[in-house]
Amino acid sequence: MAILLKRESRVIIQNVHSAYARNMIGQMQAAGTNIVGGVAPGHGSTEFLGLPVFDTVAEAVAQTGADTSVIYTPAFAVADAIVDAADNGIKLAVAAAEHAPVHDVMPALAHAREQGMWVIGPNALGLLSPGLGMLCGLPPAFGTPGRIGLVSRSGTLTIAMLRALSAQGVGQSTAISFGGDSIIGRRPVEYVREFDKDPETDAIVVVGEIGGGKEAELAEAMGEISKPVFAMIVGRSAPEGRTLGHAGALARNSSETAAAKIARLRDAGVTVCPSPMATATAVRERCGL
Amino acid sequence: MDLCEWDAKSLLRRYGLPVPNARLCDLSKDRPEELSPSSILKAQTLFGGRGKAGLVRRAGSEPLATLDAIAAALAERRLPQVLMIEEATEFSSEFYLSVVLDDVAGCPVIMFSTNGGVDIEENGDVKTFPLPADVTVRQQDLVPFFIEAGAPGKSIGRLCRIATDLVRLFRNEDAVMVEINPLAVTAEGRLIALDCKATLDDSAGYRHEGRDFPLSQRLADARLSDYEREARENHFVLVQSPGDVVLVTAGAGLGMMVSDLLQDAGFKAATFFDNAAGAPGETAEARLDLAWRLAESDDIKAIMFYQALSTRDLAPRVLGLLERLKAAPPPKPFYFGLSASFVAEKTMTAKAAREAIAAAGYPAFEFPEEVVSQMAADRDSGKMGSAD
Repeated sequence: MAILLKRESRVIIQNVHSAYARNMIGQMQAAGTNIVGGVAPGHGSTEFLGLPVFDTVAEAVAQTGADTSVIYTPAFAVADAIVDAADNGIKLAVAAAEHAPVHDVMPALAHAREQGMWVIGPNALGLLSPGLGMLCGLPPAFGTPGRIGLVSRSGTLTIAMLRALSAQGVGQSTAISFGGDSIIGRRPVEYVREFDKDPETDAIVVVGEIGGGKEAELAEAMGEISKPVFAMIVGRSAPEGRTLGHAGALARNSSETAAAKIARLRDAGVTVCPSPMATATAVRERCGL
Repeated sequence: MDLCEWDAKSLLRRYGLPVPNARLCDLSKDRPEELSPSSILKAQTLFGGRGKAGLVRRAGSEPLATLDAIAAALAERRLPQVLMIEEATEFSSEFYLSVVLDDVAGCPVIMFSTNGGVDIEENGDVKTFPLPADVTVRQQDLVPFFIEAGAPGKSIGRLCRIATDLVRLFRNEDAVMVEINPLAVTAEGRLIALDCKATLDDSAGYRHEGRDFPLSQRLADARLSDYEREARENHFVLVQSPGDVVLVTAGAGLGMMVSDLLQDAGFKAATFFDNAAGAPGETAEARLDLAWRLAESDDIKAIMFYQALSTRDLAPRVLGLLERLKAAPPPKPFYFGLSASFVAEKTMTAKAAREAIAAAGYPAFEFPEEVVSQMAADRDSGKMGSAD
């Protein structure tokens, strides 16, 4: 069953003509994703890669019954694309764009939440449920079907962790990369709660970084989580006061350092590991895999 | 973009927020003839804690000597010799007021304390007021917040006005942080911003064409090393720190993680590479070139290359690297790691790439943990040579 994406989900692609979309559509389909159409204003009633193209999200939803969207709209317009999806009945969306202005994204994400739409991203590599489907840009071949949930800010670390888990025979129910931005659609704790409810997930791996309060929030919520949670927090060796790549990866005070996050998660009962391989080993041993 | 005090206060002024009279003085161009003993001399930097570092001082009975002392402290840190000379303000207490993003609430918050000044983190007792995601607020909505936070009655009206103006600035200027500390309270209950810093969202820079902060830009440039500046000119990001391994990775998360693994093995990454915003495609060659030169340094024991490719074609990268390894052997032991999805394996598999690098005489692995443990083994058996 995995989380969020269902076998019966009907997926549209916003900004379907983009290079990113062109690269990934075939991969998503090969992974099992049911893509039912694309959106490109001004190109309604055409076809692209065998998919019907619509002028608006509203038309695409009306014609195809779509409930899920992968948004490849670029940074300066991604906020409006999110609102468009939320206003037209989409319930799950991945937003890929990096460097979206935060004052655009913030109200768009708040609106999406009010409308009941779950946004992965922005600046996300997306979702992979091995054997079921993929949304956005995670390489399906790195995953193995199984019963471990994985959630990570960073795209490259989602891949690194997927590879380590798969190499040790630890399969995944769903892996999610939700992006390194400070303000995002849904936070780690929300994914962990979904995994906790999912009957096909036995344990949860969280990959976090320096900066922000999202891992501290997770630590506080651990009392309500019944499944074992494992974590790797990167940026332990980061030089003080310099932003390392991700907009959100800057420790603004002592509670946002990797050391502080690791201590809080440990105190809350999370098994914190230093590397992807060590995490995979810990999960394997704990779950008897 | 981080703004220094002078630039942040210029924004405050533009939004009608009260700041003391001040002028800017670039000691490399002009040295003031005389200064009022009561004026405050403030070195312009992008880091905090200037007071404790002796970079902010009252001019005092020997103003020019004070000026020289700050100039010397700046010279020692190799910082631009730019000072703000500000009229002193008499005040009875200090507030703290800021607007920052709350990554958990998904919206900005106003933060306020009646205990402003230095050490706000330790003894501030900061109260927060969540703002809606569209970052609008009316003065009347803030009244209960400031009363609750313990602000004296006669300052409430002014606080509400200043806070709404600050929120407007935060929204209209695409800021991600703006902080007034201290917000001084005069004996008459007037409020005045004695220090301010701000960070603007670079991603929104395109819609602020013409908005210019040359001093903050200059201070940011001065903070970069020659190599970091060169990286920027070549459209990628390099962050240097003291260390013994030149680490070449791509992707922010991966770079931080491999750097952690190196630290766990007793090494220290001297570099962090990343893509720059809106950068044109290929910078691999320029990165390697820079890595080779950085590795010339006596402090460096090894070069570690690790990439995880998901969509980019790996063949040209690996062939380019092989060519370089042949043409210009690395100045220090070179370690290679690569994983790739089948999409990146358009004309060459990751396995074939690792074999090609290994055939050229360099250790090559699939996982970063393997690379780092080989490096540690080589160091411990003396194969890496000693940099100490």
